[in-house]
Amino acid sequence: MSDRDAASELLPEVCALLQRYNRHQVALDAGTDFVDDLGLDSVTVMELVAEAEDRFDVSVPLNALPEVRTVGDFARMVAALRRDTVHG
Amino acid sequence: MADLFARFAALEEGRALLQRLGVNPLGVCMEETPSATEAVIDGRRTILVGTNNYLGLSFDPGCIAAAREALERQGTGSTGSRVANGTYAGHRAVERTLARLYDRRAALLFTTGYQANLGVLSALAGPKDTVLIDADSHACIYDGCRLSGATVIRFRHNDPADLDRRLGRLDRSGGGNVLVVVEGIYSMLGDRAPIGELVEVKRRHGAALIVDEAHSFGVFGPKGRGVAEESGVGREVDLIVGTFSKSVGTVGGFCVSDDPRLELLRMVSRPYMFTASLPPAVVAAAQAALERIEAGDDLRARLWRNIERLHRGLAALGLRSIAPPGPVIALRVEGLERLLTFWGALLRAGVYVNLAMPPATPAGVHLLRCSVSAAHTEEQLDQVCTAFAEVARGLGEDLAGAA
Repeated sequence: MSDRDAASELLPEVCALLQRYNRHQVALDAGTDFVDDLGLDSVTVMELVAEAEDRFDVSVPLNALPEVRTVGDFARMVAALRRDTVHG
Repeated sequence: MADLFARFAALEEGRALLQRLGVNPLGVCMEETPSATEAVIDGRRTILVGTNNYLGLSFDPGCIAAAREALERQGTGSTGSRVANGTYAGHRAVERTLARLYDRRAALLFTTGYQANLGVLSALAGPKDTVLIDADSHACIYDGCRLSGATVIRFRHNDPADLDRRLGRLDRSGGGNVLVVVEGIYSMLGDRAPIGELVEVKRRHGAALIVDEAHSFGVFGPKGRGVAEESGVGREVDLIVGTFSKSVGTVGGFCVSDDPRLELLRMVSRPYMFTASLPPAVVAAAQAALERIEAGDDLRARLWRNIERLHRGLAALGLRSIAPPGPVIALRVEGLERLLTFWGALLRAGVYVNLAMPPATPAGVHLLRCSVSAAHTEEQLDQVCTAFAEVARGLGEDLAGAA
């Protein structure tokens, strides 16, 4: 499975996890922006990352976070990390 | 024209809140500091319970005399880096003393504790390596990792099982080093790392371990080496980083290791090479303080008596420290406004404690953070407790609920 397919497959699960952080109840999709749409601050982002790490059994490198702006970016990153862990 | 400060718009709101509450934490000015535990603030004699001056050595007569002599004999500053301008005999003597104190082969002096972590991490880790850091690590550990270019992974605070899981997940096929970084005592909450268990985990995975003993050097362990020594696993720690700006009572940073190749950092570590070395008076004060720490545990014993006293006094008011008794007593207050009001009223009552709030604190908690000193008198600590009680009464606070 390509990373893109794996990411689309993960998207519903990622959105479900995000509901707890979705204070303004915006509709979540791949294009939802963590800062502009969800208004998350850096502390909340780290909480969210920790929860996702447990759920998906991955470790998200801090270096990767600046490139993650949207829910879709996040799902793609988690999918890629899962692939690395499985084959590593 | 470019508005360089527009990015701080949100901070302006915070400043407005401070103005409305009539408190100005960043505006506190110590007009005089007559001792290690007192200052004059706004013309008022104030007891300092937020200095990290754990052994009170900033006013030790021996340290002051040593600093004064160095100042008069060697001048006010080295005016540059040791790499360019040369090493003073005092720099070398402090490094020898640190190596002896820790019973390690090599010691390296930095200009601040911040630079020690920056200098060690940026030099010892590189783009092929992975650094795992405790989530509650100090900013200088985060910044040092960033400068290293290594892959950086946080593990749950003080959670060896989580570290174990994350080490197990790593793809080690690239062959890079794996480095774990923790602190002995975490500065905000004052809680202690389970170094014994962390050592077991790192050993199992063939990783190196760095412990930053910034808040625990001089405070824990039979020889004052820190939490790793106290836990009986000091030898298992690959590098220890520390600072002179807490228990040593001045400024500076250091790293000790049993690997003599630590010396090579003098040629590659940019935060070591490209900044001015410590001035002679500071070096002499640090030397005298280190010798004082080496000579006996009387100050440490006095500190621990004071810790017990303040802990007990605050607990009797219903104010319970987040961590078990230690040099840092962090009290949780719900809500930013209550925290600021409480802190401001304490200051007006003549007690200075630290104000700690997100993002400097973990999990978004608001804290009144006290640090205890061996130089506090019993009367001062009792006055601190009285001030806490009176302020709470004045604000109509239920202290048991506030903590």
